[in-house]
Amino acid sequence: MTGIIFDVKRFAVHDGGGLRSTLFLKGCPLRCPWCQNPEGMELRPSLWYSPGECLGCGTCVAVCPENALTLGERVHVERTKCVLCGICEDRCPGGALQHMGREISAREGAELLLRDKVFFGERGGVTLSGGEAMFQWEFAAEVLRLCKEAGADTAIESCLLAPREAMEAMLAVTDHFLIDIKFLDPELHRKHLGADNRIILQNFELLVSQKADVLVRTPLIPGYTATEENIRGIARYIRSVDEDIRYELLNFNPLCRSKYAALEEDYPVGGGALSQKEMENFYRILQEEGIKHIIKE
Amino acid sequence: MRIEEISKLPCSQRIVQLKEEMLEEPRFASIEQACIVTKSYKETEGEPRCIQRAKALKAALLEIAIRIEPEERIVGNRTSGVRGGVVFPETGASWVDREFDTLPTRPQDKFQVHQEDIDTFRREIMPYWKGRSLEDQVREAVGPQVDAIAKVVKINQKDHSQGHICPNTKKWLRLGPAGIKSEAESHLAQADKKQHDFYNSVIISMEGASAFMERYATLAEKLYEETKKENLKEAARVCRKLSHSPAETYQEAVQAVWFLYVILQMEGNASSFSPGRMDQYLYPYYERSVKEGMTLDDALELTECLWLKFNQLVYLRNSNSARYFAGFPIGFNVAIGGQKQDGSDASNELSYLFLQAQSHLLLPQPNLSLRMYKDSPRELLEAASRVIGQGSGMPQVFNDEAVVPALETHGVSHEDAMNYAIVGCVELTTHGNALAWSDAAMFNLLKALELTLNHGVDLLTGEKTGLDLGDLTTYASFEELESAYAKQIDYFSDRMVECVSKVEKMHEQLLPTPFLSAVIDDCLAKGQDVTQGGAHYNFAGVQAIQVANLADSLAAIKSLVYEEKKISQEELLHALQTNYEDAPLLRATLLNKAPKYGNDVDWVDQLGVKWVNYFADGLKKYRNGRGGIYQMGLYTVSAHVPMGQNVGASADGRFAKDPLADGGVSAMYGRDTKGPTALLQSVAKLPFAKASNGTLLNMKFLPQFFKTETGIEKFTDLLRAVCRLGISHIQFNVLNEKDLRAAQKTPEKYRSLTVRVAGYTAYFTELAPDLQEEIIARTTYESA
Repeated sequence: MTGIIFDVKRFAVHDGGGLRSTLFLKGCPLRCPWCQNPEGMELRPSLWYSPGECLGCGTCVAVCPENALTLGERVHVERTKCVLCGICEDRCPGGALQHMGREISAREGAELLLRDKVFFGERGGVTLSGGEAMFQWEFAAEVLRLCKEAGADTAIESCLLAPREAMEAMLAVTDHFLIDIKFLDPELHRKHLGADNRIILQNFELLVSQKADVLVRTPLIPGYTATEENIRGIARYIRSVDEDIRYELLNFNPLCRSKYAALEEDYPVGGGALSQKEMENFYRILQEEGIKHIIKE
Repeated sequence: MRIEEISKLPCSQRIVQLKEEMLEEPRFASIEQACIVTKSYKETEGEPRCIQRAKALKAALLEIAIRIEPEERIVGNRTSGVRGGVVFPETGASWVDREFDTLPTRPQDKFQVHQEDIDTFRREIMPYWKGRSLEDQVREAVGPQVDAIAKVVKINQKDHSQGHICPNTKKWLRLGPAGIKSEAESHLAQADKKQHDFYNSVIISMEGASAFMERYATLAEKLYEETKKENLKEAARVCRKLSHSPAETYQEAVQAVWFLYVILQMEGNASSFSPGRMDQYLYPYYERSVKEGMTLDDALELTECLWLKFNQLVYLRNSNSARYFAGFPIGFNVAIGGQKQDGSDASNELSYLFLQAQSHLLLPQPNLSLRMYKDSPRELLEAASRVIGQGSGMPQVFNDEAVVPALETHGVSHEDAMNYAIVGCVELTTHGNALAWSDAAMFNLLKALELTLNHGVDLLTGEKTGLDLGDLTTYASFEELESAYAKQIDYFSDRMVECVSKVEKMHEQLLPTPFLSAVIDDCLAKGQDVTQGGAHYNFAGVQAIQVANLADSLAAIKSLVYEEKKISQEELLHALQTNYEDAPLLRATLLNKAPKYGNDVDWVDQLGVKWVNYFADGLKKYRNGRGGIYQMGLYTVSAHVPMGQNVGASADGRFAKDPLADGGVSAMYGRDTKGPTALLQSVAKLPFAKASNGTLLNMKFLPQFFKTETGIEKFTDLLRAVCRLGISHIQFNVLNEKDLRAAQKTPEKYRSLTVRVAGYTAYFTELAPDLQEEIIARTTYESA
């Protein structure tokens, strides 16, 4: 069993209880325009270029056997030509070029996560994220099974757009589900994210019916999800499914803008994080809708 | 335990006022004691040295100007001003002569001066001590040997007396000066001539101590008559009682502790006499006073009075030494928590009161240290985490699981190891029975590598100072380079030990310390001064510096030059010799293409481990001047900046003269890119059992981490992991860059901003600009 991952974050403090290690799996069925990890969207690996590390020396252009690279203000990658041979990465003195995505076995995945087991203590553990953690669900379930076997607490961060069999496989090995509900309106969901939310909501209800430990989260994205109507709707809905549901609002974090620059793409979300006052307003809405457990970082 | 109640105690108006007054008062260099002592020495010419020393101390105790603030409850100082820089000619007069005029303008640790003091010093003090002070005598005895190795090994204790000592405060509290005097008198009957002098010197010192307390009692009575302030009446009663009887109440015990440390500093003027486990030995006094009706507010205020006092003594160093130990650290190190000798939990209400005092005052002293072990109570770790989150860098955290075995490995009994304390910044000691000479020398392993790569020739000066074993181009393999490096280390270790022993001998001849010896076991029993080896434990400590740069440099050479051959031996040697002037890409390759210490990359970390082991094992064959063994430490304090200035370009991509990694076992700043857990995993591979002199790990966190209960929980999880990993010490700077930039721009607004420099905390605005920049540059762990 193998899977494609693009990062491991150690000392993850926002991905569940205690201190955790988080494995980022590639591939996602949604296309959220504000995605914080655009490098995780596609399943296939790609060459990643960090302009900040680039010395402009041109070594990569000279060594590329496929002539896939050109140097102007920055290095441009002709993605159709790049065969991911890794030569430029090996030779780049600044460390500006690297593979995003590598294939590893489930056992290797578990080892990467368990490397910091000494930090997990009573509360911490491992988390799968992405991309979408369940996009490669067989791999994901096997990694978590191995982690559980080693005694670690397990969690996934997921948008829940996954087939029923994936849900069942994950339910068997996952202690905590940190799930995203971004829009309640199926039309908005389809329009902005490329798929409607019917399966997502079904899966959420499945988790609740199975008494899984669930935390619902909504990223507050200006111009998208951060409207009173949307948040009120989500709150009302999840409260109707589970009156004890835990709900967390994630303030917009514009730091990922530099990632889009590295991909030579525009980032569609303007502005910065929401103000304290705006956040308070949303929290008030949650209270009005009877959310008992509002989680704040 | 009333933990919750303690955490809500407010800071009293008295304390707020005393703190403000203290911080407002300017610092002056003081020659008052120098004048008294010099006069005394002239009168006692020809008497045994220990008697001369005791009489000089007694004269100072009788004559030095004393002062009490109207609001004070705990009294005493060694100068009439606060934070005075005491000129101490017995140990160093020549440097004072050279630097007196520049004290107000030097980059680090400035003091104001009175012109008439400079004139008096040059007219009356300097001429007597020229050629007689420790500094001059050391220079005459070993000056050339010390200079010959100076770039690799910095020999310390050449111009001040040895500190880093944790006296037996418990005994002082039990007996007081009068009781100790009687003890010395009882030994006199069976004493030989040399012991006779020693016991007499103790008796004279204790008479001085009693008289000093009486002077304070009299002054407090006089001030009470004028002001009718009850605190002064009580202070007078306490001082009067302590001059002839032991302490019984909490206030008496706190006052007695403070007198002990003032007098130790008047005798020794040394860097660090540490109170050690104050929550343990003060507890019986606290308990008694609580039974008699002392409130928590009252206990806290008394504690905070002492905390302020700890900040009123600073240490005047020469300008070079001030760069190595910047920010006047004087090292009143107080340890809380940990285990009792039987392994049970030692924390008590005083542990929490001390944390609360720290949380209120956020001052550099005391250097508050938390002892942690595998079963430390959650409440204690959480309370400590909250105080750490306030950003004063304290408490720093020590790990019994690592420290106790390290001490036992070096011959310390289990009971003494379980009762360890911390002295100075991060140095480990037993309680009340050791002269550990913790800061004998600092050994720059990176400089030794530089010499090995370049025919023993210094890259910065072109002088040949080391063994010529070849250069990088002549070593056919990495193993050949390593075996040459081993020889280079041996060469400098031999020379270092010779110098240290000679310096120790000079201390024995010139600086016996009878008052101190009376509170270090077994000096009175043996009839021997500490400088003669009277203590039960006699160590000497050498710091190995700096594991991160060494591991990174060796890893780059091993992988990029010898294995992958991405860089040729000639290219790299040339680049080092020319400080990467025309080789930016080669430097980038070194920085980016070889993994670095601090990222949990095993083979790199193991290179650091290997050479730390080699160095520590090499020390085993030596004995120090008092017959004890050498111990290795892994810390630099702020010395990574000046020590870096001594080192040319290194193969880790560091430019010539740039600072080394900070702290001791930290990664090179900015190069631990895998986060704190990876850093800690790397650090945990080091042989802490061999680093019984102390280690230092700095980590920097942003304040957001501590803002929520979840954050506090996660932070204590991190502390628990540090404990399980067996890392001996860790400390945290909690601040953000914006704060520090603002403090640089408007220092006056940030006068009380303290930062962790290394094993101690200093006022940020009082640090030199390059050290400020360096602190800002250290890796920051944002809330990931």
